[in-house]
Amino acid sequence: MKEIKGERWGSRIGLIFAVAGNAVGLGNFLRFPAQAAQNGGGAFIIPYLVAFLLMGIPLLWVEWAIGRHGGKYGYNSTPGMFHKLGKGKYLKYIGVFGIFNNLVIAAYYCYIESWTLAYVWHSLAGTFTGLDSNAISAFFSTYLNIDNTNSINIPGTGIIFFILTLGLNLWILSKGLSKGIEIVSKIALPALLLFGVILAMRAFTLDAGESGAVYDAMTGFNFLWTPKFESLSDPKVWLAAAGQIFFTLSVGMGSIHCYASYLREKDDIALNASAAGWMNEFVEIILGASIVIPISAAYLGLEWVRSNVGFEMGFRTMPSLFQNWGPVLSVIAGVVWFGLLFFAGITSSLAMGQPVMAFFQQTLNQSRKKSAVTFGILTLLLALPCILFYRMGVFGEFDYWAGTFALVVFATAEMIIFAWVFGIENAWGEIRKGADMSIPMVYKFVLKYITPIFLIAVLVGSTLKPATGDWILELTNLFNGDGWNFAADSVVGTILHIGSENLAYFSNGTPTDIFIKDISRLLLSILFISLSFLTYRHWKKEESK
Amino acid sequence: MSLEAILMMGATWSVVIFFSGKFLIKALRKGEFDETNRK
Repeated sequence: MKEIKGERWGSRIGLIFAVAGNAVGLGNFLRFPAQAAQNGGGAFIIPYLVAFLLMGIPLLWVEWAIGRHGGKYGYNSTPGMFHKLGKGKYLKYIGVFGIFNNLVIAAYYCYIESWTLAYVWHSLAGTFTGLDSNAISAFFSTYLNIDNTNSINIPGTGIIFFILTLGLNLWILSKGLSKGIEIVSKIALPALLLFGVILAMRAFTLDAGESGAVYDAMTGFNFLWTPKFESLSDPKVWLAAAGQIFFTLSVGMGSIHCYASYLREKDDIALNASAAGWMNEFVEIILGASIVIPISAAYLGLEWVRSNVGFEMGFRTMPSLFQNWGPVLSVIAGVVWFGLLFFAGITSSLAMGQPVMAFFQQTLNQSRKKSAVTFGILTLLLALPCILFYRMGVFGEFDYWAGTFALVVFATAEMIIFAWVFGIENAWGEIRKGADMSIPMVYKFVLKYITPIFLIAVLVGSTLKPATGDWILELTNLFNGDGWNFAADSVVGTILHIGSENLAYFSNGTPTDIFIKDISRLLLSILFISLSFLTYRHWKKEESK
Repeated sequence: MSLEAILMMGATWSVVIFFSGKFLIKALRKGEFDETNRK
């Protein structure tokens, strides 16, 4: 494999901002507060921080180390990097996950990112001015073209904004690391922090009776931060906390490996990884928890927040709440909020594009610009089913299989390979090489035993999650011969479509959701096999040289 | 806000601000990578 010539980071802060920008995404502002609210409020933070220290930080070091180690041999994408971790010929196919995950996630993530760009435009254009909360919520359905009973959703302006967003990503990616991704990260991350601070300050000072608020925003902070220590004994809370750490740090994707591969052999990774990881935590815990829930609670009350908290709140609810702040401030707040989400989104989607481009540059010998075009075409082709069959579940399938399950599988595999196949002594030496900070010795034990166990627990927990949520009850039932009831959202439950009443592929001659979901899974399987075949063909060529 | 919520939030924020600031400042003070690394 040829090394991509001339590709290096321009500055240390640029690299840290790029990796932190990769981690800081929409989930920091929309997923984290929802997870905290649903899993014990303030007590959620305890398993969350434990998972960060025992799983998140070690995984960051491992991914940076695998990346820099692979980069030493000229590999900038995960198949080559994994090939160098041991003698097994299968290792490079594990690395295919690092391309597959990025490509599939980029397809639907760029679509969400395009919503934020569209909402910046609509906030500026005053589209929401004068609309009531129902009309603003309905605008979201109309925008996605899901406000009808059609099987196919064709969102006209949605597609235009998606193509604009994808085009912008490709243009930045085609500029390269230091002149593209790094410059954007240096602008986007500080801008995001500034926007986040402005909105958080507003939330802290929002009192009942002011700007139409019914309650103090502090009731939202109180709801989020009041600990419910009894929830610590619930495995569901621990699984949710570990899951959130996964998504928020963007581990198990292949992006961090790629970014780290452009370092030199003795450049520090330990301190860079820690700085980027903690910066993400700052954005998530301090800013992410201080915007959506407190502001929503001030206007709609805690009961409403408890039953409606979720991803779509950011689009359906926030613009209508901003309307209470007057005609000028509501426009500014809309631009700041959706601008913040857009900056969070684009720094993440760029990190998804770079590893895929590096893979095509190295396996197909493409130039940077050609690989950007290839990435763009594939992203567009994968995004179209997500957009057109949004309501029939393609979006959800991509998110579940690539954006959730495959991340855990890849992270578990890389952790075991790095600590056990590459060997803990080599692994420990690789992480500490050139380190600008000392890593506590206890982490050697954590890397070998604790993190793999943590990851296996998350993988098994999500695969076999019981319907009742009570593992002890379910195990008792199993030993009593009553079998195991899988939850509908467990991996097994999802494969078997548990909870769906009608499993037929067609109803009155039209395809059902089940058909569309199974076709999506087939499409994803074909993609994974194709990427594996490309890897196989490339290695065969390399070996015959 | 209740006292326990204030304590929980205060403790968490302190930990996060301390470590995020510490590592970022340390990285900045350590300076750039080797000159040959910058293009």
